[in-house]
Amino acid sequence: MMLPDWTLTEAAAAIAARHVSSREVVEGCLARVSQWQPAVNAFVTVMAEQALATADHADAELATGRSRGLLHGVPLAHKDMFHRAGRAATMGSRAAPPPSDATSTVLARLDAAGAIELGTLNMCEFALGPTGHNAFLGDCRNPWNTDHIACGSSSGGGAAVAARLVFGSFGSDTGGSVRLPASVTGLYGLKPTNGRVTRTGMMPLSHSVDAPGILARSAGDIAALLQVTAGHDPTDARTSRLPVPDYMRALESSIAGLRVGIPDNYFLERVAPDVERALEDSRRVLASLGAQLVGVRVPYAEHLTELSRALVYAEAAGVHGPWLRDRAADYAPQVRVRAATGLAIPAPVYLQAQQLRPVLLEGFVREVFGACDVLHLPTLGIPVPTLAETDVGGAAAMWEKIALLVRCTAGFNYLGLPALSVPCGFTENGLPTSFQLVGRPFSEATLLRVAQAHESATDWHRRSPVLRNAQESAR
Amino acid sequence: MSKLDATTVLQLARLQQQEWVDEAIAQRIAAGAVAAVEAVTASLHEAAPGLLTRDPADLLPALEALAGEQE
Repeated sequence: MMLPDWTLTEAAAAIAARHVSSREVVEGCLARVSQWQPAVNAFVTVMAEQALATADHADAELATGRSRGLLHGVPLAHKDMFHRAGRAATMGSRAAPPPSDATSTVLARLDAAGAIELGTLNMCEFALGPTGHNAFLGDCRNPWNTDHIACGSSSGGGAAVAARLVFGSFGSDTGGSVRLPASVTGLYGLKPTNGRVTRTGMMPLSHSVDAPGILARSAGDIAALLQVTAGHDPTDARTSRLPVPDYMRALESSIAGLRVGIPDNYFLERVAPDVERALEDSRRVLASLGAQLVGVRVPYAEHLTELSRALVYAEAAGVHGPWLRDRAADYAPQVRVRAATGLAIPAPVYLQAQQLRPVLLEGFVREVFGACDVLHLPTLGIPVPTLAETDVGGAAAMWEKIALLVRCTAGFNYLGLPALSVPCGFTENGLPTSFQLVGRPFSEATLLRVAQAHESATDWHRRSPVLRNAQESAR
Repeated sequence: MSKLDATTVLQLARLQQQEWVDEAIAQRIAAGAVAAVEAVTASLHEAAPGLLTRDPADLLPALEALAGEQE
């Protein structure tokens, strides 16, 4: 196996054992970036010299017997909305915000675990969109077929990790923005329980709905990245004080007897036949490993996406109101509208949507997780659309297609539940598809255990895209 | 006709000094806002008894209370 095809945990183990140096790993990733960046536009900035210097330092530390932790010497890159002191994050915008005066807690925790930051990644403007289009930074493209979207808003994370340019990435998930890019690029994508991972220093789109999320190439990689970033942060009042489990150990447990819920309503409607075939295959794999498949009625399902939008619209309008007032022309037209929809959400409706959250959450958990341990459903019920099909000014079906993107994801942001996208095959257009696991609050370890079991019986996570030709690279 | 017309959205936008909002944009804002408001209103019917006692910031305590046994 070639070095860039290693998973994060394999690379970390090889570096720790000094079978390969961190410099060699970083150089391998930088070479891949040079090849792929013209085709996929995953990076906003590449910090080659800084990354190599950090790698040399990591190698020197290992030579003296010192390891910083699970991610020692491993190159990562993140959505360009996590602040680092002295650096200006673009947030996918032309608005040119000033340099930050503090580093986000997620980046600080990754630094402390020994990770190396290779650069910053493309994203939808202000994280306001599910497709990966960006009028300012240029569209991010899907490495499996660059005519297709990488989804968003953490588009660069999906493209970069899938193309083996880095070993993992943090993004944000407010309506599916980590799970969707993971699904369409053949990766694992975790939206943790709201409150499990700190938001301090992450650009806000919607304060009460946002969650940092993780894109990686295996369940174990997600576990490692979650392990070093989860837990209470005194600077984020909405982080939980519940203890952080040993996610790596949880991967080792069997799923025999685990009840996997298959929704009887909503989520399996409007699913394309080739996506359904892949979902059915994944259900068969889980059953063969001892899981018990049970039918489950999912309450409130038809309202959850719009309930989430009531919060996101109102909070985004609150965040962006002053900038929209003074510099609306700095926003792409469709982004401007998304940011402004909250201007027409009445305050009592916003507050009712907030008050409903714990009430509906309690009803949902009681009904769904009384009948099963995890829910199994699509992440994206349609094959990956093209950039043209989802671009501004596209066909009349464009809005319908865009609405379908978040149909199975946004509701769980409203409820705050953990959700994990797991690769499970390819559709007829040759692009990846996935299933989504949803669990009760703070059950990330269970979701990762199921994903690991599926991974151990399949090889989808080992498939990688191929850069087609020089013409594509030069586009 | 939308339940929230573009003229009303334009008035709301002007009230908030968002002068850039025109009629076409107001129509799109109205469509998005109506769908969200209708979902909230419909859900109130299902959960109204619990609402009066809930603080809008209750989500994290509810999530923690509903957490299963940690692995």
